[in-house]
Amino acid sequence: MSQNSEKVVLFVGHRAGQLMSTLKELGMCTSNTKTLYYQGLDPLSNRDGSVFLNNEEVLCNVEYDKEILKEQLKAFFELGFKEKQFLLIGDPTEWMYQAFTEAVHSNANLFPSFAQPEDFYHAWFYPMGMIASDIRKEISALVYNVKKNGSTVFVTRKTDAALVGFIPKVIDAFEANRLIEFALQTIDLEQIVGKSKENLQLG
Amino acid sequence: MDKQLQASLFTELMNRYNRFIISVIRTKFEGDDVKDVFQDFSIFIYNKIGTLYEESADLFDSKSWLRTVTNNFCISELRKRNGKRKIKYVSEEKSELARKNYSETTDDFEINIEGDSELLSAINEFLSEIPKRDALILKMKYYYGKPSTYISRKVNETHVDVYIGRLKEKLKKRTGVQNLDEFLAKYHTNI
Repeated sequence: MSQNSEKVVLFVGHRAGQLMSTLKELGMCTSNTKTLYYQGLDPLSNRDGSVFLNNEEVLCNVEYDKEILKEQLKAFFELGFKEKQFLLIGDPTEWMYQAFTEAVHSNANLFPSFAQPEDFYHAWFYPMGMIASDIRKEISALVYNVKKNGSTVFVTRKTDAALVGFIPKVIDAFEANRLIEFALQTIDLEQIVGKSKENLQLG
Repeated sequence: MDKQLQASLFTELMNRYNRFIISVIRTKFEGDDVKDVFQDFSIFIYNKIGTLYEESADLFDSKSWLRTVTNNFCISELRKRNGKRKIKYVSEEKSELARKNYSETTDDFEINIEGDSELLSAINEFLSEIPKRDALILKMKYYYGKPSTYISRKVNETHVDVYIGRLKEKLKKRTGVQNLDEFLAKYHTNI
């Protein structure tokens, strides 16, 4: 995999974090990959959990609530990320993923120097909460958000075990600026939001 | 179900609803029990996700499902705990042998059953045939030696002595014994 400092691959949430650690064990990840996840504490204690970036605690005592996480991540995003293009990998069911997506989109609108929504590529795992109607509503809201902001979203239906072999190919394609072409070549990655290659050429 | 997926779903569920789960547990337990029950519930819900996730799509729809599962789990935990504490009563019939063997043998309790065993069995048969309420009145009077006022209060019978007199008449006819009072006084522990 090539190195590109302008780009960052971010594994957001617990499910993506698990995949990342497997990839790390197998030596299949590059230096510009990061993990962002939430770790809860003992619920009977008075403290809330923390947000970790690459196993480093960046936000502490944060309640696991979408709106609270969004506000906290907004402030952090301003300081924590300077890259120009993002590939967010994760499960849209998780509040962490939803909050981060909403945070980056609202920040990008506020600060023109940051990466703009169209510079965000999302690679979603097939949502684990898809069976629950409440979570389907959350996912619809997220789809609306990314659509409104012009990001590009792909989804893969592969199982967690199969993702270990597949996600490095997605990262390679992202780093080579050919993610949309890759999605057209394979049936395992479906583009659900964003302009297609044909539309981009016409535009 | 994929173990990684199960773990992720469990983590998300617990991150979102742990406070809600604890609040439900607190309605039925207090103190350190809350912690114990929460830990047991966490294991229970992890296994439940593994078994139900793919089969019963509708179950994970909302908080109400989680509330029901938590409530039912708490109730079963309460039953388990109370079951352990409960004293197990042995019926009088079953404990009769034990009472005979282990009770103190003082002069008051000396019983010569052999001579009147037929009479005793007739009385026992009579007691099993009459209504339970009547048998209870007789037992309270002669077995436990309770006063008539006490019996009157317990069974809500105004004229207890008259009532007992009638029962005794019936008993006399049935067993043929004339000096029933003497007999009952002598064998009061065996009725």
